[in-house]
Amino acid sequence: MKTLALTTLLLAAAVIAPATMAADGGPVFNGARLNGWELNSKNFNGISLQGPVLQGLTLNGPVLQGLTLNGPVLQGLTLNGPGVVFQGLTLNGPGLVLQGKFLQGVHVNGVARSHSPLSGIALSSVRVQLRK
Amino acid sequence: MRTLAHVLLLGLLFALPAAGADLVGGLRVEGTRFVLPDEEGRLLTGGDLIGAELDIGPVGVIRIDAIERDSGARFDEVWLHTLQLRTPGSMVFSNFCTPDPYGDTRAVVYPGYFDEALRYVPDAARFSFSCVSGVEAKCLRWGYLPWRTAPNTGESLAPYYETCIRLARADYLGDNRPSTRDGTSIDVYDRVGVQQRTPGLDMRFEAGWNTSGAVCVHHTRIPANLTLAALRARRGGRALPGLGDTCNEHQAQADGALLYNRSRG
Repeated sequence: MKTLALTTLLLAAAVIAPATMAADGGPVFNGARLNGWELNSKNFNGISLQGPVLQGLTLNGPVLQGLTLNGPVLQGLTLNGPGVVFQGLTLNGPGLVLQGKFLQGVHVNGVARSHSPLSGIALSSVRVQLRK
Repeated sequence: MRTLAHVLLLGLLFALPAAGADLVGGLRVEGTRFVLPDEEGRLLTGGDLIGAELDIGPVGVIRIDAIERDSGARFDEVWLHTLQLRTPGSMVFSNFCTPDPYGDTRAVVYPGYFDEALRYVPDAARFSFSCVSGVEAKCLRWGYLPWRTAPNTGESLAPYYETCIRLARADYLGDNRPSTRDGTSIDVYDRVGVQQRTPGLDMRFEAGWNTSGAVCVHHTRIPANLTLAALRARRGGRALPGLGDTCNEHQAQADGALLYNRSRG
């Protein structure tokens, strides 16, 4: 079993269920807020994961150094491939898939925080339920 | 069996909407507030909507827990929303926003959105949320409301809002490569009556800005993130009139700056 440096994971503790270990040794976080995550890496140094809603994400290292993922809503994100280096990566946004080698210093959607987590929502698509 | 019955009953209660709740449409955003006509045609807004749940499909359900006027905003028309989000398949609500450096997790709602080039699109049929930690909310709170006009000149503040986004992110070349750091203090000011220089701060002139980024840069905000030399190299063949000591407020104004800022740098 691999041991992860979980102290480097700045997880939103209140919303994360206890981690269990996957068959390949990587951690799988199953909880209300990190449901479906799978993180496999020998090096999680510098990774920051901040919810809410970091759902459906798979990270496969090795070397995911300097990665920052900020919610809300980073749903359906996939980072794949042995030997991939995701160093200095900043990700804000849903539905993204990154596959390749040496994606170093790549910034997707700007700074290391999702400032406008929901943008351009069509008003006609919103249903409102009032509390009486 | 009794325990099982209790569990089933509890599950049923969670699965059903609250008794007496209505599902209605017609939502719109005016300024930084939601407005919703009820079944009798009355307009609900502000505190009327506390407890309302906005079903945004695949994103989930956002619940409005509190709405309050932003007493710190430049203009008395910014409202802060405390929001909770429940994702599809979950029955648990949690904070919609991650906290800012002061622990504030409120959000601003505004009409329209920013496109991929970070240009503000004033689309009345769409809206966006920005947490107070975000530059979109900060610029609204500073007074650069894109639907408003400038106090001194009467010109639209829409280009000032776009400019403010560039400034707040230290996106000098306007190429969506911010170089600031969360929690960094800056002093923002203009010549149209929205923001003035704040006296007594240990800051010096950093840059003048327009909708395309900086018109000139005296020093970079966070040298650990981006040095002036690195900015010079990054700029390539693109025009950026002044870098370094040649850039001052007078020069920036001559170069068409809309906003100015000071920082510790």
